[in-house]
Amino acid sequence: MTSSPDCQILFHWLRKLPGNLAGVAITKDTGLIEDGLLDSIALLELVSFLEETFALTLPLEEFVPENFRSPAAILSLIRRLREPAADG
Amino acid sequence: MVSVPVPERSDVLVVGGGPAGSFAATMLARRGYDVVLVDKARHPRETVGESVLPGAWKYFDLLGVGEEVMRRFVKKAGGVVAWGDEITQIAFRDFAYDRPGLHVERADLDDLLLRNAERAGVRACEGVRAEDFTSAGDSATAVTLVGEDGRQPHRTRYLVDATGQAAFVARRLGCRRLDPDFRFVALWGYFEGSHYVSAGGIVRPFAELHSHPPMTFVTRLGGWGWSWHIPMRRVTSIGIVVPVEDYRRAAAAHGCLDDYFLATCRATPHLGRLIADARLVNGGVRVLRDFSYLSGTVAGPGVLVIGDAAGFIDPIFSIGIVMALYSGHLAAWTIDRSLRRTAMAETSRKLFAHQMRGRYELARTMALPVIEGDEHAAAAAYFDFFSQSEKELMWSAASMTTRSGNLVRASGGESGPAVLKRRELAGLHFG
Repeated sequence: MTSSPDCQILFHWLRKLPGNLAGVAITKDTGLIEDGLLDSIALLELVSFLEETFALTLPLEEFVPENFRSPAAILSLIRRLREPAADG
Repeated sequence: MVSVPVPERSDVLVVGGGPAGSFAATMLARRGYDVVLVDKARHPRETVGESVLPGAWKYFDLLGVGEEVMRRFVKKAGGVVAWGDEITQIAFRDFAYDRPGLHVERADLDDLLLRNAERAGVRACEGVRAEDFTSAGDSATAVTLVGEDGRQPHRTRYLVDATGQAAFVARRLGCRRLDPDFRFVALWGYFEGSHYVSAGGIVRPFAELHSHPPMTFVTRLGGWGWSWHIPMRRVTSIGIVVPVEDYRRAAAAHGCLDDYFLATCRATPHLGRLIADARLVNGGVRVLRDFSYLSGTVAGPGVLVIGDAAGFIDPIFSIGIVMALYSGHLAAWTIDRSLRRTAMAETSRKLFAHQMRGRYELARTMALPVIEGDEHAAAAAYFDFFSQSEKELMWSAASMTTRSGNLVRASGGESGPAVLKRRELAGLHFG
């Protein structure tokens, strides 16, 4: 897997999640919500982390489970929010 | 408890010292905000809502009170529901929880959480209520407080309404909307000497509570009513939830509420046997009517509404305290985000309102036999924020009564949810 700086920063944060007691190896396709790693608390912390680290603003319509389902989905969200002028 | 003079200003004013208010206040004080919390009562004070799901542990851990809560209260293994001829059981350990649920005396739990808030730097003023408020946009809300020394103005950057059923903001704004589909009355009381239900439907004397953990026991009562049975450290909380019209008819026939309540409990299958040797203590029956409502607004400039003040549906699935803690967490996050980035205030508020609505609509789909309109969409969108284990718990719990067809529809499980982790019991085993 190609490991962009974004990817490394995100995975570093995800590995520290308290829900990951078993120390499961997180891949780009890990079901973060489904497996209980990103619960209601962690999800808000992630949004704060993304907004501060990547200087983004998460609009309301992007606060949907699909955007946080997996690391791949989050990386795609980061890319999209960085290019607001691209209009899709 | 020492009386603190009520401050005139704060960054955040939390009204109400239940779990929602204490949680939000603690988290904000830890982030460095000047937080004042007022409560019309002096804690410890009695309130109802004693059953706690294991989903609450992560919030107790965040507050740093997980070990103390575990040490102090009765641990429950799950729930047993007798609904008509069917008796089913769910056990929390089947849903990826490493800790049990709880039966708590709310006077003690709420006091513990409030003192913890004070240790975090929250200035708590008890015996003080909020009478009125005016929002002058973000970061400038004027609140009239009333304490022993009379009225006093207070200015805050954010007002958090955590007043529970008193629903301060909703009543002031005239937007406390009673649920037309759910006009019920709850009557409850505390019993000494009740037997209780443990795993496998085995009925035990109260004295075995600490060697054999209890189940919360729920029975169907008439067409749409139900009863709860929640053994705690010294007494058992028992309540009935009945439609308003049934209550009016029956209460008129009985004259005395205690008589009506006791007669109904004793006539209810299973429940009647559990309390055969028990007696009602602590001052008789309590009554709450029209407790199902939604607040028409939960977020405005400089104002957020959390916990039961934002809405309350029905206590049947014991989700109140977890919802309260969740909303307290969401409010703390929202206020911090709004105050640090003022340009984000409106977006943050909308996100708060959106998430709160999702949670309450999901609660409605679980508790009501039939709901209409676009609520399903809000509930369905929210449902996917939960993990597979949490979904399985909701599906399984919902399958134990006949009132939750909406949950299955809203969660896209028209052909039936994939996983039901429940056990059918042949009956209750009285020794």
